[in-house]
Amino acid sequence: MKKLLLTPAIFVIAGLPSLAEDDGAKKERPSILTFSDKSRISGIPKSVEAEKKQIILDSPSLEGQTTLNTGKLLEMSLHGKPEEIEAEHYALATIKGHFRDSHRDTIRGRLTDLDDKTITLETWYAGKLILRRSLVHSLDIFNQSPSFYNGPDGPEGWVSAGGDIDKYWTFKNRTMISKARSGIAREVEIPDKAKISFTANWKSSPYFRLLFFSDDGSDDYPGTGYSLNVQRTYMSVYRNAPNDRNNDIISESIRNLLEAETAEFTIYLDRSKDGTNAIYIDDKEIGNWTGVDDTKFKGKWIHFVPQNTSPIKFSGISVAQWDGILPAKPEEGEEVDTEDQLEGQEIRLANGDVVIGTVKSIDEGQVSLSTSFGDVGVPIKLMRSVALSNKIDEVRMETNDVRCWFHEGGYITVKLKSLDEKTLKGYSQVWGDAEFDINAFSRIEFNIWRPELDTARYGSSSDW
Amino acid sequence: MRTSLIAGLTMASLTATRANDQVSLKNGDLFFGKVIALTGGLIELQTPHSESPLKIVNEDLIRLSFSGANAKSKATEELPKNSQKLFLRNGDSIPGEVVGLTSTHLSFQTWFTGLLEIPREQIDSVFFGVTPQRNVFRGPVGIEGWSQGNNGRWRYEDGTLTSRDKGFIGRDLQLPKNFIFSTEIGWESSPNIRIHLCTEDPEPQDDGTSNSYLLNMNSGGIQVKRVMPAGARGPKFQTLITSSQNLQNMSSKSCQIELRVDRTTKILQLYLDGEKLGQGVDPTESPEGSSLLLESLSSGSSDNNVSKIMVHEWDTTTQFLRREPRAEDELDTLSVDDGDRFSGEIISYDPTLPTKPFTVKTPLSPDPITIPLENCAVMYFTTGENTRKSTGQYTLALRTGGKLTLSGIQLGAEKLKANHPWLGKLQIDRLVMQSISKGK
Repeated sequence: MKKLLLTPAIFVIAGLPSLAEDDGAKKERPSILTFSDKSRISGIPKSVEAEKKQIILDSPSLEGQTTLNTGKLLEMSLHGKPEEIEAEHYALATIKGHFRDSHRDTIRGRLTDLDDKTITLETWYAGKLILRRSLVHSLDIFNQSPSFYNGPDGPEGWVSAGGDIDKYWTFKNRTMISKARSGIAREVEIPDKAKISFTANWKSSPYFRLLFFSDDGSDDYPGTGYSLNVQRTYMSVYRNAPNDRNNDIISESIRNLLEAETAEFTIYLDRSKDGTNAIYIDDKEIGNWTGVDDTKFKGKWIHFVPQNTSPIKFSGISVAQWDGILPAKPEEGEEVDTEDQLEGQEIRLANGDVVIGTVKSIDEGQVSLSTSFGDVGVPIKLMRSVALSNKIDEVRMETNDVRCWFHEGGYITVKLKSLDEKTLKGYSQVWGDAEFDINAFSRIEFNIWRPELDTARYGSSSDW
Repeated sequence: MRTSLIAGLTMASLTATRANDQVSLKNGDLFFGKVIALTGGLIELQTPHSESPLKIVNEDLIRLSFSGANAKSKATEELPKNSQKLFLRNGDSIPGEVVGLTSTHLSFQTWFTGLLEIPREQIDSVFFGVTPQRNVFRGPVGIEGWSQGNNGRWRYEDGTLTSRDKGFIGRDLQLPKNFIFSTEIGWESSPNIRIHLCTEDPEPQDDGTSNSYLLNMNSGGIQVKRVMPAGARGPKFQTLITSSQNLQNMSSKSCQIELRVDRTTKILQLYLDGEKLGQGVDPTESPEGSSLLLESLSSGSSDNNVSKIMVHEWDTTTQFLRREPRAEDELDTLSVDDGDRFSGEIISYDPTLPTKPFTVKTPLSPDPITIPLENCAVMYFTTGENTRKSTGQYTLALRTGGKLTLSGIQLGAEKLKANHPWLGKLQIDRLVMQSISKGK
């Protein structure tokens, strides 16, 4: 398959801050380094030498520049401003997981080339990234910049129906803990195909509601939206759409929660009229529904509402793009390599059509495909996804791997080589060596493959 | 195996955190390690995060806490104890012993900063019989170690146990034979809580919470009751102390409660916010359990909370800080343990006459009165006219109780050198230091 050189499309960069403003912002909001012994040091990171496991920090709390060991560093927050870009399409590549790790990297950019070996994304933060296609789990195309949420990181952005958020909720270790029945809500852009997931911990029995597509964050009983209700061993889903009849979507027994104190909930949403939606608890499908048009929901609020005063913890909240494919059921057997079955790649279009062919070229936002019916031209912005190999493949865990979180949500894992005030240099098995503009990231997690630091990083289940 | 390894490492990490000195700054920065020096506006801290000591700018210091767990440190109970505490007019308090008194100065001996010669006008009072008792429990510091069965009505946050529903939470506090239990109780609308002491187990048993002492607090008042063992003849409860103190009207919606239990003599004393409410005698064999049970009776609409739980061993000779008020500002006052007060001029102290060391000239008697040391409770001094203003940059809290206002601090390996606004230059043994905070 021919690999093409492409003409860069026009990126409109809005609000690019001047250097002086940037410096000012850094002075106002220094980075914060958090260590496993709860030490917390603020300052401007001047450089990181990964091999030496050292960071040089200019901290207002310390005399002069200080060299710190990164051996027990959990994370470093960053407060640079990302560039705001407008493009004719936004491509999102989801990378396959690391060995025994459920985290999945996502990297976004503008699709400029695609062949049977590589996927090329043009990015503002790392230039051209050529991804090894065998290590990419999925590739999705969006008309709008996809927005994610990963948290909770703190009370910022959340509101409580009771008004005083500190009175009703506690935030610590990226977990929020209820003190009373008053709910908590935030606005999140939920994509057309979305995966909402979170972990709940409780002490006695689970009794709470999750609301999404709600139109009022200040009310625990908003006018429209979905309500997922969990009450001990029973779960129900209720849909209240504008100008539509209200539906009881799911009523199911969930007796497996009877003895549990924690569970991971995942909601797969395809908002199109023919889309399939489903709810999973601990990777087990509890129920699904289809045939409802959820594009009519305009509300963006997502709520967590305790239904009694017994404290409940919510953590690992994630709103992310979904590739539209539900997890394979065990009885579905071995994974199938679609590339072996189909001649070319399966490309799903925005109108629901599927085209199977090979990419001849990508030029000025137009993909030229060779199909069995002849050559076809498809604007990238009308594409929705490209089917990739389902071959089992994993990304290696590397010493000095760090997890870099984007401001827009999502993260990438990079084998850190060095970091200075402007640039992070690192390596990935997926794209090789690359240099990243540090302003792309909101925080960097260190020592991510050291399980003995997990309790310090995430807190323990007994930590209420 | 892997889980236990991780749990072990986690516990080791947490233990290490507790064993470290802690430096808190105004900007939220937090450092753990060993403070090796404090001088020239810098705190030098050894930490595993840096090869060389961190030099922390102390301009924005909130608090520097010493762990008391470093190699040369002793446990607090191993430190020398003093049965007297001197209060300066600037609010400072110093444990030590009176060794002399003249018309102008009081000589006060301390183990950690030597002999202090203090002008009388700078002294507010000296309390006697305040030997610090061995601390048995201080908390809560988390939900770990507490037992509440499966109902999970109690939750922990920021040093406080809170419940909005009916439910128990308990812990074996290893209560000694004789002890002083104190805690702070808070409520959202009205107090409704029971505290069971000396129970056999940290959980209610089949026969309820029998064979214990019950401290019952509600809007009607406070009672201390003996809960008889299961199967005992007669009534299940015997009221030992009762008070109709109206807690409901307390604007702070909280109070500090203290119960002293002497299981040898079977005497119990109840204090509310430092004031003695009453004393009772248990006519039965004392319960022998060592556990505490907190029982919330809230009906689900408002919180009860419990914090600052302290248990000290009680030697029962300790008077503790009795707050008998000063009689007059213009006169010295010496209160004795039976409640009598002698106002006038405390003339002298002669340590060679232990049966009558204090001499007080009072209008009640033509001759000066001598007071044995063992009967002294509180000594107040006349308010002076020319007391200088007390200014200091730091407050040093002492591990044996007490605090000092200081400036110009220089911390070395063994001693802290500093200036006290009234006492002048001091050299303080590092062993006594609990924390240093900025300002008063």
